[in-house]
Amino acid sequence: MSAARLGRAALLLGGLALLGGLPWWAGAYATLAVTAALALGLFALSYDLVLGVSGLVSVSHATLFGVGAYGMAIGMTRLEAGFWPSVLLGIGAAAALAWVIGFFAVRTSGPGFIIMTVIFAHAVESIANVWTSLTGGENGIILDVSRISLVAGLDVRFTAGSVPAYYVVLASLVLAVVLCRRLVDSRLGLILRGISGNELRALALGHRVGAYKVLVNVIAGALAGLAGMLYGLSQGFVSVDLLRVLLSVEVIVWTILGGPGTLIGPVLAAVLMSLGVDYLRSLTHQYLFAVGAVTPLVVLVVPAGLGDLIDRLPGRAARRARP
Amino acid sequence: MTAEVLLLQLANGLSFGVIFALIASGITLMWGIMDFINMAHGDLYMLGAYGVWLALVAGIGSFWLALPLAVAGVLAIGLLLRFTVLRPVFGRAPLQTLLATYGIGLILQQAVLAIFGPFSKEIPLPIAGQVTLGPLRYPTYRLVVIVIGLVLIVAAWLVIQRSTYGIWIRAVAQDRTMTAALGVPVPRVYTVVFGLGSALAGIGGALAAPLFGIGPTIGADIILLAFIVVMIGGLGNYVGSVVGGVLIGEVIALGAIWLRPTEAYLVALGLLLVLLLLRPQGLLRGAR
Repeated sequence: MSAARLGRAALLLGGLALLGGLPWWAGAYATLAVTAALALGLFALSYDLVLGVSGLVSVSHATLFGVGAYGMAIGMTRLEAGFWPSVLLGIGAAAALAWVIGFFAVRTSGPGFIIMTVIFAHAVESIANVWTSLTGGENGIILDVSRISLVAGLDVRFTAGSVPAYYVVLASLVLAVVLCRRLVDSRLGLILRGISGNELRALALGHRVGAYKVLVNVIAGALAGLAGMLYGLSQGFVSVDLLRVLLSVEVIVWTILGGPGTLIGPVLAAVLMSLGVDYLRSLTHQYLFAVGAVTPLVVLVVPAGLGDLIDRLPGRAARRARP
Repeated sequence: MTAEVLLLQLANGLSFGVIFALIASGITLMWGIMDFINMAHGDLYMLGAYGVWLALVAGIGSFWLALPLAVAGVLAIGLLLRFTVLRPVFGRAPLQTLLATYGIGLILQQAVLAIFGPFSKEIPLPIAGQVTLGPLRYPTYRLVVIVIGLVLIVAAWLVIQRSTYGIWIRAVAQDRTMTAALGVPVPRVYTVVFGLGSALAGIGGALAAPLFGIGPTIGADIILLAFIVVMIGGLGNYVGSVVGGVLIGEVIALGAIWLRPTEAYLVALGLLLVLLLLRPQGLLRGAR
């Protein structure tokens, strides 16, 4: 094992140990904040499958995140279904909407895909804003999370900001990273990367490019829906803020900053940046100015991610140039 | 429902339609000519509406004086953006223009919210009375909006078809590298297109202000319809955006007889989805 690999393994283990012990060394408020940030990390991971791995620009990913959360919330409160059926409803709703958006978006050419996702994202946000009897609008739907027992016999309670909630989200994230890594390395992942690299060539090789684009949107959409549910559970409520176009743009920024296609990079960027925005929000109501300023800056300064920026630092360029 | 209501809504649809067309044509031109997805376009429309309101509050007595002032203001802001923040973004991938313009739109929206507050403003109709058109008594101002809108749409079309810049614009849309090699100042063509699009959005916002009301989020609301119009007309197709604008205007106006506004938006979206099933390239073919 080379020194670089050893270093990376040590970094990974250290990071996991730090995260694993977080509830003991951080306060309750910090645990709650990090739980939410990790759920957003899972959300960014799912988006990396779309943007980073498959090279698809979708501006409706938060729509799926929010619809997943709402599917579960509506199942639990309005329909009075149990916890697990509501989770299935949420994932099903997110995956179904992802299929619909994908189906229509791949029918267009060029940037039509992007614009169709923008249209769907705006449309769902408008509906959610107006249909307040279903969504609760800005106030959202309050989830009685203290009554949720994750495993019937063991009786693990899921309460907002609790230690079990933190570990459920952390475990989901770690599991999802492993599964996404395997997906990227699989035959399906190879085809998706092929489409991203050269769509025409993938088409010429006989792959049904459109169907694969829809498929990855559905897989990532289901994962985003799961992330949305975990986020809602960690907060104890679900609101229209979860499906805003703003969040869809933020996840693009996180993915680009973290390094598209690296899976773990977008997760880290999402966790750190969402914690940063949380902190800003606690300081000033005008925090959206900062979000608005960062978005173009990312494009202008680091279009290929922070990892690439580090590579471009003086002194490192020479090392990279060597074959 | 009487025939009179139907006629009235058809006429209203035309007035909505020309406003949608003014906004959508800017989006479609920016895409067709410089591969530029402008997410801040709705916010330029919003600034046009606020500009008129601000000019009236500041003591400009007449709406018809406030209108050109507002449009000049939006044009100035648009060109300022084009030469500063957006300057490095031209020619980049759609993802990058999208993010950059979204960020700028968000800042414009937040600035308006911070300065003028979240509450919507209203300005009185610049022309009060009604005119009699055959069996229909119709508000004069809406008729004026239709006429001004149609004149501007035809004027912009003539500029694209007949003027030197128009020829350059169409040449850049076809082949940017070759056009540049033939000595056409491509950056200046970009400036003209960006300015034209910004001005049309500003005019749309200013004309719509007395009809639809003014608020920080009106740009975000209109952009959904504008994108639907652009996709229906064929992305990059100027005439398509006008046809699509009028079509969606009529859908919204006729929908208003039976439906609430958001439901009418959904009908417009449904129309686009059906069209995508039948004609994926849009009603008229895109620019390329």
